Amino acid sequence: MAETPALPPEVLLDVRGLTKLFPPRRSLFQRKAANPVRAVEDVSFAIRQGETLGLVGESGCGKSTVTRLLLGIHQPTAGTMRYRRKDGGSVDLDRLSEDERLAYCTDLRIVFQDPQSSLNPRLQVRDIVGEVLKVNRLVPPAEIEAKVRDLLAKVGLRPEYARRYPHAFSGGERQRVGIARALATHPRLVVLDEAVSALDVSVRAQTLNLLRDLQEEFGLTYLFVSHDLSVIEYICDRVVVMYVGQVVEIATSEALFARPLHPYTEALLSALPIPDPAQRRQDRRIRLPGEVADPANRPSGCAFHPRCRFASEACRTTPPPLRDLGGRSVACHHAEALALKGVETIQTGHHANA
Amino acid sequence: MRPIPMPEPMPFGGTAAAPSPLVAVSDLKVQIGTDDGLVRAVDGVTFDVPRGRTLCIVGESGSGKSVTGRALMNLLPPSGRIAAGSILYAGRDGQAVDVTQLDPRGRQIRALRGKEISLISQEPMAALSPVHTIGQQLVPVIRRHLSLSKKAAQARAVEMLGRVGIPRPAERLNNYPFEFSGGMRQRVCIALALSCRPRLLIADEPTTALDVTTQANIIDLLQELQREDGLSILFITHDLGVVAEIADDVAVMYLGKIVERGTVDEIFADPRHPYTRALLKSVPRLGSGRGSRLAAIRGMVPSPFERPKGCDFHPRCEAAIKGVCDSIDPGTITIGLRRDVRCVLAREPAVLGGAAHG
Repeated sequence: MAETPALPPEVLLDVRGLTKLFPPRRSLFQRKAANPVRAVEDVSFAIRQGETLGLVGESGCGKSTVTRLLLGIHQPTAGTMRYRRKDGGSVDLDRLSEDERLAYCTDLRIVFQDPQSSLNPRLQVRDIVGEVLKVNRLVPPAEIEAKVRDLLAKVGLRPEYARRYPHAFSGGERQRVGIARALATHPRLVVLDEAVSALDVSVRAQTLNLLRDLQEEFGLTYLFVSHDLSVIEYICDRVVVMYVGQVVEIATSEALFARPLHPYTEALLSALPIPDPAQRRQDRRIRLPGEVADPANRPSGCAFHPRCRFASEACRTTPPPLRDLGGRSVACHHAEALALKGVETIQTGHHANA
Repeated sequence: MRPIPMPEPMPFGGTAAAPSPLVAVSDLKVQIGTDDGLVRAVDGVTFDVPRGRTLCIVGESGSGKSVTGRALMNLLPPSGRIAAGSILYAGRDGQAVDVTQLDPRGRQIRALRGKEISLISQEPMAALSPVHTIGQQLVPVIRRHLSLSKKAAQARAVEMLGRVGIPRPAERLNNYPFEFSGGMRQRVCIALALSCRPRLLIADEPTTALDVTTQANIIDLLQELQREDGLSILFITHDLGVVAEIADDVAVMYLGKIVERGTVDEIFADPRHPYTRALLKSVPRLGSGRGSRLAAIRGMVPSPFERPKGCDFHPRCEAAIKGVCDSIDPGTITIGLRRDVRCVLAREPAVLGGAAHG
């Protein structure tokens, strides 16, 4: 058994010092040895039971790698992922035996971004959703179809659709099939990896409402991975912000959006287009110079310093640790001294404290 | 500062007080053949793109917004054809050209494409050749359209890359697309699109595949280029936040038709079509927190083969009137200057107040 020290009672999953390095990509034409890609480095956060934790960041920030590490698709280079067992103890998801891994496959489920490519086009919906029940012998074979019909009804699809193939569904309906598949095993933790990003505006709203209803009904815990801050604010209790493989800030959704502590979070918030033309005449946007850093050549010190308007000598030389600050966490040397703009202050153009 | 709204579209050769539109599209219909039958992808749209302004076409997938954009360049898939309508483009000599009448492979349209009307698409990697350097892709286009020498064309290419914010442009000319990041690639596409000083830029979801901070920079860049060159932009998107940032005028499309048209302020402050209202309400807004449920639109966009009778939107509409909306096509109702709505409720303001909730 992969027993690990006990978790605090409210925590379902505790990630500590999670690191994943990928060996350098060497293409045919590059002769010099490149650095390893530091996709995820020293990432720590906890998911509490019943909450929705947001994982937000731009492309290349490592959010997808984190979900893949949790699901066992990649093996971490270092760090622990302690998961609460149903009996109250805890296991490290990286040190599961084969049998245990199967058991946790049913307890930790994922909904993918693209409902088109994540459903097997050759299988009927009853097989797509029912397969995991069959393989894990969770439901007697004779009862699988009834169970699938029940699940379809739960996600707002007609039970008779169980006999249809994925191509007969619209994008929004396919994503509901993906959600039904994730819920089939009564998981405790569901990873939603950009699960609504590919959907149309009107269908996205339906799906977000559905996810909230299902969470309430089944007491689910969500890890909601997204690049879309307005969706994150709508659905998440707490948010982890990542930049080039590292966590830069963790806070409750309310606190993060009202007053970010990390300059990168502030810039992300200010970059989001606001659906109100009256706002645009105010120049509220913080323009970040340059591009997102390359995880194979991360800048020295704070990875964000080349783009940060507050960067000092310390930022160029010393990596800022993720530290507690008034009940939240931030990785910035200057967090106390900065008065960064949150959402309300962006929208009104006045500073809340002014 | 945005220019003041222009008056009603009028024939080409308007006066200084009433500049004519650069492109006037009238009752455009585009059909696309598929395995399942003929799709009326664009089903009678009328709009114009004023000079120096940005028109946003907003719609969900299947609304026909991209096909409309491509039709303006007569650049349809082989199975598609323009079935009816006209697209009048005001040439530099004051003569109007009807793009729909040109041979899609002919000399005339090829002289327009790239030179007068340019396109940037959603996926910059698909728009650039992976096996040619940026310079090899930029320079011949510039030489062809602007009749420049190789050296002058090269200088122009460097100038354009610099203008769109690519550092060390002269060196980067020798790089391949894969050596650029996503945002930088989209900048290359913009440089390519604008290198021949077009007058109309068709931007088809140019920021959808980009990160928010990169998206913000690209929008800034397009607005700056518009201010400097007086460029007209047809911006196609599904993102209402982006619309609010960049649009002067807005056309909302649903199932191949424009359901509402107006200035950006009119559309956001006083949406008149139930679909526009519902779209605006279904977007989570920053600052609204977790409390409220989103007002989702029920149902899905119908398949183009199962078009509802009457108003296309009525099965999903909160304000639909039984016996009216499910049988009568509302037609386009003009309710103001460059402002129209495709909804029977717009005919009778009193009915609208009573039947529409919120």
